[in-house]
Amino acid sequence: MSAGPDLDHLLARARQAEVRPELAVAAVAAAARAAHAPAVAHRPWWPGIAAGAGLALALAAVVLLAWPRRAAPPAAVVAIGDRVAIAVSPGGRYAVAAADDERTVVVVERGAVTARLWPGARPHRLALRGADVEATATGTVFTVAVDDRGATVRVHEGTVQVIAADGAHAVAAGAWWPDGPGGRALGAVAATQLLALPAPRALAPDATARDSTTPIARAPDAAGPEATASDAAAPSPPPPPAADAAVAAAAPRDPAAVTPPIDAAADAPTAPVPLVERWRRARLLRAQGHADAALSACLDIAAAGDPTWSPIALVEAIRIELDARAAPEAALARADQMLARWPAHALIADTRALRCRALRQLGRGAECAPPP
Amino acid sequence: MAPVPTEQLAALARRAQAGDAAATTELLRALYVVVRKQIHFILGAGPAVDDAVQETMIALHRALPGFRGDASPRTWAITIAMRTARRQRRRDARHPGGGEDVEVAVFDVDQAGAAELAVMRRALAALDPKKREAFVLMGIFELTAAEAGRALGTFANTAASRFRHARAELEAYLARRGDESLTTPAAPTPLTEVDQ
Repeated sequence: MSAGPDLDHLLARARQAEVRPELAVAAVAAAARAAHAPAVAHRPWWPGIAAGAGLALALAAVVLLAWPRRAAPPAAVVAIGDRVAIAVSPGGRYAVAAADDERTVVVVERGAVTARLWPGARPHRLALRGADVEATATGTVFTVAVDDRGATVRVHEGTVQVIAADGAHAVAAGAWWPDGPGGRALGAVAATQLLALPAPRALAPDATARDSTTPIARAPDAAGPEATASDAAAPSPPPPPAADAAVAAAAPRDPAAVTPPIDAAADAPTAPVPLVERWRRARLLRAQGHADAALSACLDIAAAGDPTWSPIALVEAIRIELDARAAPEAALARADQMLARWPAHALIADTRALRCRALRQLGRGAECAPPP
Repeated sequence: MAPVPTEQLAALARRAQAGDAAATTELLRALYVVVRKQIHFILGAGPAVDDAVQETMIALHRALPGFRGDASPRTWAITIAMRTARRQRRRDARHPGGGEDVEVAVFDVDQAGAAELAVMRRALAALDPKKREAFVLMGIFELTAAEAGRALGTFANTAASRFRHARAELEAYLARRGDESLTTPAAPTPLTEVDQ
């Protein structure tokens, strides 16, 4: 048997390994967007109100149980990508942790968030997290509410898997987790709002007309006893004006994920590969020594015009031209392209350094000007 | 991306707390490289890692105004990342394998370096989570036992004990697997528990 790799050597390699800087640029930008995601601000707890809270809560519970849809205030509806919309309760606070082709992850920090995932051509995982609980579905409407006692999950349509500290639980439509009185009316109004909406794609101002028989926005079969099977098969009704006005057009979304329109995805034989995945492939090609293929992949990404990944890929193309292909003229041209297209980008200092290297290799080091 | 010295991180944190947006961005980028590496070796590969990193970055962004400076910003970020990674592990206990392409995508390394990092990741995946956490903090990030204990929510002696046991188990694992571990991305093999 041959000797295994030495632990100290591996440890030294792990200590020295440097995370790629372009990942930091993209991640910090995404975190800043998510940290400032639209959320209704907390309402302060006034001492005077607290004194009468017990009586008010008892009264509110009676009213909510009797007329839940009239008593609860309307929730703010936000579209996330092409297939997901969420309704946030007043006072609710959340962050979108991930939103790409394969998954949407929303972290519920406070209050109730009701989410709907519209069916589509490709599988999509929708997860709501809060207080160490994660509720996941692949096509359904459900609510996660977080308060000081923990999280409560209420399912309005479909089935949801709830993963908590004590294991996984399957929660069906009409049920809630954990058992108790708190889940009965949770998110009922928001679910009705969401079930009445067409898919977010159809709500976008530039959305093209789609086949009205496509059952993307289904009739609210779980919203009330008045819904019928013929309603479910009927063309999607237009959204109610109040809900339409409440939809936030500027949804927080990872710009790296280029999600195909739902209708286009259904028609096309293959869906486009997200930019982040194309970038990973480009990096892999370069690491494997396929410089030409890596360069081609980077230039394709650069040509996509994406504000996050295109400049990163263009800088990588400059590095490939300089190092692997030993082509300083081409590197210089691409550096000038980067300086012209994204003059304020975080990688512009790296670009200037690479440009200077190219100039020095061409014997024109004197032209290397310091940054303005 | 080269590590930023501790003094510079502390200065960035002070400027960020005073409302300097550029300093905030620079600080968070510097902390991202710490957090990304930490969660990479603690959770492995896959979407769960990306989610945990993203959650940590959001948490850092929001917690920055309340950072008191008792510890260095690096240790502060490591502590927050550790809590997030534990939550993520409770939600998704899978520890996916994956080849060297995971390392290539994350680290600025060549194929040989990526292969070695993948061996390290797979070896760590075979450890008990508590020992893995201690080894990552004290072995890779070179925290003291006291710092690691604070980040792990335990005593310094306990952290040091877990690190020692983890090291012994890793050496045994690497000796057992031999050179095949450099080429075969095998599933983690459970290690024998060592009494602490």
